[in-house]
Amino acid sequence: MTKWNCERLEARLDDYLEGRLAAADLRAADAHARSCSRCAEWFDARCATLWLRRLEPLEAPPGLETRILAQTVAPPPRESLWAVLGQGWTLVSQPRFAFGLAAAVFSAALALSALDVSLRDVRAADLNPANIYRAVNRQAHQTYARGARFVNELRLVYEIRTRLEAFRSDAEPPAPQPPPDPGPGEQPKPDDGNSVSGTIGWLYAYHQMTLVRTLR
Amino acid sequence: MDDAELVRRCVAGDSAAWESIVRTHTRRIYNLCYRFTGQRQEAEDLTQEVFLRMFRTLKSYDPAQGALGVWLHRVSRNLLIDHYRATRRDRMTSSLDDELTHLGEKEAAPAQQDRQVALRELSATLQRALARLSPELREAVVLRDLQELEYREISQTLNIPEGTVKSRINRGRAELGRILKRLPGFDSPEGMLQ
Ligand SMILES: [Zn+2]
Repeated sequence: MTKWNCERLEARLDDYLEGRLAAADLRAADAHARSCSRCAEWFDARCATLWLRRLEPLEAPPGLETRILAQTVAPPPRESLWAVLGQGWTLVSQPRFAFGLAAAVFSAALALSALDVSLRDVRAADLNPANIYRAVNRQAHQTYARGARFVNELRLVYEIRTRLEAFRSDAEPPAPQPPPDPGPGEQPKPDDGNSVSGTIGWLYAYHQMTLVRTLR
Repeated sequence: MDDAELVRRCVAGDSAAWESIVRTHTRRIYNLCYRFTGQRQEAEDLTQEVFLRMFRTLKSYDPAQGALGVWLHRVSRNLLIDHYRATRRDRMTSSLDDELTHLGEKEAAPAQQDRQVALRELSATLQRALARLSPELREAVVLRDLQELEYREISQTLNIPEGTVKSRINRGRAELGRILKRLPGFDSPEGMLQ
């Protein structure tokens, strides 16, 4: 066995750090590295390697494989959300219906973007509640409180929307009305229904913005 | 059955083949994610994400580019790096001092404990020390010393030359050793050396 020096250690560095030397060589290399200021860092590296290799692999959490399989074994249809919406579009050619659909898509997009779900990645099967649950599962774990608020906010949004729709259908069809008396006082204005629905509309839009902000 | 055949069956819709891939690799990928993030819940979520991504891109697997396990490590590694970048801001908020205090406190406990407890503590302390390495060095060390990949496989995983792989592993080990030797319980390596 020849004496170990810096050059020799550096030449066999990988073998030294991984302990792939004869026992006597390993002892001699250790002795050199420990006492040499130039090789001190390799002695640290050797100790770190020994510590790391004492670690045993962790067991995977129970049920992880099953969860992975549940997510993947029944593959979602490859149909994209846009294709499904395209089919739906032909069914709803009425402007009112189309507006409602557009508003619904817009709301859904806002809500999804608030939850960091990219619309491009959403597939038709993702709209299945179980899949949506999975998609937001992680965020929901971390932000249960926010999630609960989200549901409440959605309820409120739904209520506002329902009222908004009611006002709108009251106003439709726009029946020709006689010009109102220009008298002052408690006389309702001709566009009263519209201004109420407009106010709620604004409230709704404002609320959606707040909702998105709070969820971010 | 070799990897190429297994993947061919999966792509053809054989769910048993897919199940065997999941069962073979879940634990290793979970370990990789855990050693990289240091958080069990994060590691679990990331592991699921790795397999989802793998499932969606299984068709693009090319056996010529390495074994399935190596491909999975590459998928995981890309995801982990994305995750690391996305959570960088959160980590900045915990100060280095906190980290150092936290690093040492577990070792203050008496050392006379059974093997399982000792191993758990070793694991936790090493984990916190690993977290202090740059991601570049950390991934190289984790892939070699914990995931036990060959240099060639690490080179395929990280898409860097083998020479660079070796130097990163060794620099990472040296850096880790420098951190560890300041901690009680890690300062006297006599017991480990032959
Ligand atoms: Zn030397």
